[in-house]
Amino acid sequence: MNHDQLRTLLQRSVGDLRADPAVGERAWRTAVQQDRRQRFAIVAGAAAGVALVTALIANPPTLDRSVPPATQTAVSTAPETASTPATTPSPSEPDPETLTERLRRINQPPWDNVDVDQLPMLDTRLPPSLDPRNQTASALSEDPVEAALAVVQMPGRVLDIRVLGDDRRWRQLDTPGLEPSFSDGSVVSLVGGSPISPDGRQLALPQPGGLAVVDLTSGLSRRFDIPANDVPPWVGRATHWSPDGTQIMTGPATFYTSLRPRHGWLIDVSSGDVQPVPYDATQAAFTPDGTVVELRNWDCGLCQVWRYQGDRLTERVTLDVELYVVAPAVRDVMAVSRAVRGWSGSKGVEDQDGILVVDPESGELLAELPMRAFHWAENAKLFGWLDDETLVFSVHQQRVLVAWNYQSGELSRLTDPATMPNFSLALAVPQLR
Amino acid sequence: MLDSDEARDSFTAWVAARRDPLLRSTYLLTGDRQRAEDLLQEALVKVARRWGKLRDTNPDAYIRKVIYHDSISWWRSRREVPVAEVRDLVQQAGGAPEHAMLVQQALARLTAKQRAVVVLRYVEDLTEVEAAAALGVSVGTVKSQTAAALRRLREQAPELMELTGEGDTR
Repeated sequence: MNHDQLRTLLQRSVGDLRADPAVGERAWRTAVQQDRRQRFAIVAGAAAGVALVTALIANPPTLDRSVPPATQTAVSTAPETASTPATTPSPSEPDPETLTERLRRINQPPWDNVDVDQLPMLDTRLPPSLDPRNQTASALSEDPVEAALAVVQMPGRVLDIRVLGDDRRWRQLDTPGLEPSFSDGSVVSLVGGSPISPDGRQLALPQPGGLAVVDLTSGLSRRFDIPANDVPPWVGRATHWSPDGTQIMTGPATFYTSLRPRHGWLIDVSSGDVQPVPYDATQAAFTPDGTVVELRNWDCGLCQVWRYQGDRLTERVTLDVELYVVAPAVRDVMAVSRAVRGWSGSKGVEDQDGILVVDPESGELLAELPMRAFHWAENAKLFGWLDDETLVFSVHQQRVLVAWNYQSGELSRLTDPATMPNFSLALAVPQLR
Repeated sequence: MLDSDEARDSFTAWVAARRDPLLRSTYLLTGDRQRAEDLLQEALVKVARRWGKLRDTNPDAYIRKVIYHDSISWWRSRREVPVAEVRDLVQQAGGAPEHAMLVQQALARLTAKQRAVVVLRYVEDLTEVEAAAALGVSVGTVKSQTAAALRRLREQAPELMELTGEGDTR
């Protein structure tokens, strides 16, 4: 294939694709609005500064130099519905032994994940293969499961969803009334995020205009409508269950949030209440106590965790890590994946890609697993925590599940490398042990 | 500046001339029509906010930098590859569905930077020097990434060879 042939192929593939004729007018209007907001913020900030200086002159503060600077920031202002700042705990002095251990963990050597099949197998309830092809699958309605371990959306077939029961047998989802969810003609992946409830008994699936929750122990489903004015058609790519299984967080999976309201929805599974929330569900996760943390990246390199109680922003913590971290998985500590390479073109960044573990309370980096062969299309998907120390993630486009003990640095795999291409996988991580 | 009707008119006229080719490039970068439209819209807003300075210089170069930088940021931020979408996505692309699907699957095998270089060089027809400027990398990097991309496409996307007719001659 030569250069001209490639050029022809690419240009043919986009055919006569045309943009919305109103795109220019819309961009101009948005720019005008943003410009006005920025000018207003500058004026308001200047006014606040004047008020602060006046107050300081009237009541000069007494400096106490014994208090160390904290990385944690109590919230004084918050967007939209946020309010009520939290108190800021003082960071405790780390003991030397802990610090040494942490440094050792942070300095874990890079792992080349092309060697994943060399890792020892970790014993879990999963079978070695998560490939449902050539496996008998009975209809879920006729043969429901006690609890699910995993759900697979078969490649290229949106409504062909297979459920792996805790008896290690596969079922095919045959719940009536389910529809594919579209985003301007594109089909939304049905098993994105963490759609299986922690007890493995329910599965949340994005549907046009809302969400369906399938009871995997019966095959029956309930539908939760999201108010029509608030529903982007791509709703539901990010779906997370609260640890007690009573709430579902869901939201649009869009990176370009400035053009749309930055919010998701919280669904109370018992009452059916649907409440808008101010965080981006694709970058948020429930903590064990039911609060929500959201990861926020800024172009300036700042990376913060915002914590919410319900829809109230209660604190912000600046993380001791650089930009480009995504996809938090939270227990008492928080794991994120980072992919710097591929864009910067600079040397010396190869070992910055991988998985980080941070303390969401203090922002401190606790451990890092640098990964070589960390390609964007194979970006490690974080499935969750198997226990307090062990994170489950996938490499090679979800074809292999890997466990990393961030305390000991040990790596192991949960499955054999799959030969099935292009499938989507969800796990009920709490059910795997 | 943004309050001026004349500025708005010149901006929308520029957009009208550039929007379709920009959307095609953006679609090839992202592989997703909705993402492509989001990305284009976001980039146009950034251009609009700087239109006073850009209109008499080179808005094309600026928006190209924004789009390529943001598209790669998006790939990084992506939690997963919604692979089930590919077949349906291409129905929206405007090209022949089978052809477009094969091309998208092939592009998905490239790194973000390789994909960007390929689109700049072969869709936007930029020279190596222009592509390097758009990406903020050296000309040598553009050359090496182009070669690596072509090598990877030949090795890992043999179906493209079929489309070019080369596969029949093997």
